Amino acid sequence: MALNGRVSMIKTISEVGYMTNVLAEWPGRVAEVHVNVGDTVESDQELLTLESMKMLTPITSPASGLVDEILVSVDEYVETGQLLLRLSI
Amino acid sequence: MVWESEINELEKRRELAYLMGTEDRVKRHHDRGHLTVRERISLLVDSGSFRERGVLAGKAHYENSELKDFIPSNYVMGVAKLDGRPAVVGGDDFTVRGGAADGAVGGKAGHAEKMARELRIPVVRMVDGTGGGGSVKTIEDLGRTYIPGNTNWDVIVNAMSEIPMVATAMGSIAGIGAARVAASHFSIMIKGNSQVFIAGPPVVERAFGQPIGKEELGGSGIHAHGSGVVDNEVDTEAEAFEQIRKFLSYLPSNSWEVPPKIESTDPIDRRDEELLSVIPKDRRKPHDIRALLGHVLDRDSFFEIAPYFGPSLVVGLARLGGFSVGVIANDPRKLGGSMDGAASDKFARFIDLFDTFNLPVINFVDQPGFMLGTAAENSGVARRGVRALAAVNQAVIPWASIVIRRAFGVAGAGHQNHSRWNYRIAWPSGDWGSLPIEGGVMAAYRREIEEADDPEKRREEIETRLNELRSPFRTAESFNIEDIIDPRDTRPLLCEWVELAYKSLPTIVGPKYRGTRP
Repeated sequence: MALNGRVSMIKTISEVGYMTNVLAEWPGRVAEVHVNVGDTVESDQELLTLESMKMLTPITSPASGLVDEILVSVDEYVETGQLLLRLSI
Repeated sequence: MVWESEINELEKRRELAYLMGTEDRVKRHHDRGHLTVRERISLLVDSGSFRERGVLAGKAHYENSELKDFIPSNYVMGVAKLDGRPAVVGGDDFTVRGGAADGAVGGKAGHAEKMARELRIPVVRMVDGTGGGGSVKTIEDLGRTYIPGNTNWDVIVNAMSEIPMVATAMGSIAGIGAARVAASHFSIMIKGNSQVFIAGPPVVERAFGQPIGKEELGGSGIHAHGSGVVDNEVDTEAEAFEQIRKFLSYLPSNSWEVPPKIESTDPIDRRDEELLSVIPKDRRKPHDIRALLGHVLDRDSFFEIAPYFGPSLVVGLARLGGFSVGVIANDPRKLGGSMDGAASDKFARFIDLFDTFNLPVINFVDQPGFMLGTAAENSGVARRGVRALAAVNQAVIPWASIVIRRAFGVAGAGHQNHSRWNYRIAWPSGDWGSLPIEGGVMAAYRREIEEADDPEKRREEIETRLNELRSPFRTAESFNIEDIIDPRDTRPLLCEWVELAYKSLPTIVGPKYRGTRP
């Protein structure tokens, strides 16, 4: 179920218990990455900005945790459902 | 007293019904974090207002014609008041046969819906179990199988156009129970403690050979987020009761009535200064639509429905000067505010709701157009989108559009029915057209640009030239927009409009000719 970051989050929690995947909920160009690997983030904190439909849309954290891995970089085009970032929670 | 023994028996039978399933089962139900159906009803309705219907229905066991044991029907229902207004309320009793069909007596769930429809009052269904649907145990009772027919479906389908229908998923529910939740104007799930599915994990495992958890199959993470089957997700049952009362407070009791007006303490001439800076000048920067709504609508009156489904479209009920209204707004923070398949479905469904229950529509327009790209095309956005636009044109409810920013393309055009008069005003941030200039220049001037010595420079020149014509005031000169206003005047103007709109409502009440689909 790649349509929605939250749906995927629940699946991952039930599978491994401590990891959360942040997926692109819509396509766009990565305009900004606001966090670094190792950063502590709060729930709803803006992690990345995607430029989509000519608008800068925030991708926010689904939970509080630690940034484990960032899988995209600025100017990269991402598709719906693409893995953007992994958090340990 | 002539009938004393019969009155005593009546009392005794009622007492037995109030016990519900066995003490054990009630305890187990509580331990799982659930309230019993009787507790739910008493917490939902005004104190002492519940008038039960059918308390005597159940399966009795007699010895020498004497009542020895009694298992009540697993559906409890009746008429009650919610904040002083009548409604039919009912719910499955999970402590009796898990709310399944073979514990039902007399089709009480359907009876409740039929009663609500005839009385022209809302019905609240707290579904917990299969909600009166099938169980293979029925085959043994009947000694045969049977062709399925959805009992009471005609009532449900027609009632959707006549009375507010609310449903909450209170446990793990499947089959016709799940259908009842989906066939409603407003539905709620309890996060982590309720699931909705066509069929539960054992049936799914049998079909696919794969074990699956019930939360993963049909929890609120699925239905209140991705699928849109259920509107709102709450943390506790108590919160669900609060949301049910709140939802119904905006609506009339039926589609023949005008919504109730309340006294509002929020001045209709409130002009919030924040409205002057809420939209950034940079066209790529989004704004906070919910904050904007707070500055315009009656304070704390916005009740959002289905916030996570089709999130680029924000939908809810609110009040303006105490009058109920239906609110639609685009959220530029999600998908840039564009209309994808889910947002289209949401748009169509809530326009039907507003139209059915005579709620004037306030549409805050910031629509860049239908969502673009392969995923959107694949999801059928074009058909789902035009269904939404058809709903806009079929609606007869008074309609106001405030173009706060963008209105582009076919989806942008769908912010109202252009063959009717609608109240339409814009903010100075208004920006509209068939296509945004940045995207449209290459399509319209391709040859001129490509043949230029410096194509990039020529493109910029054309863009600059066109941008000079972009001012919304030029559109207003041609009366293509009724007015461009100071954003601070939005609330006073809408409050005045809604009062006028309500004067016209009595002429359009009643079920609308196209009906309301679940």
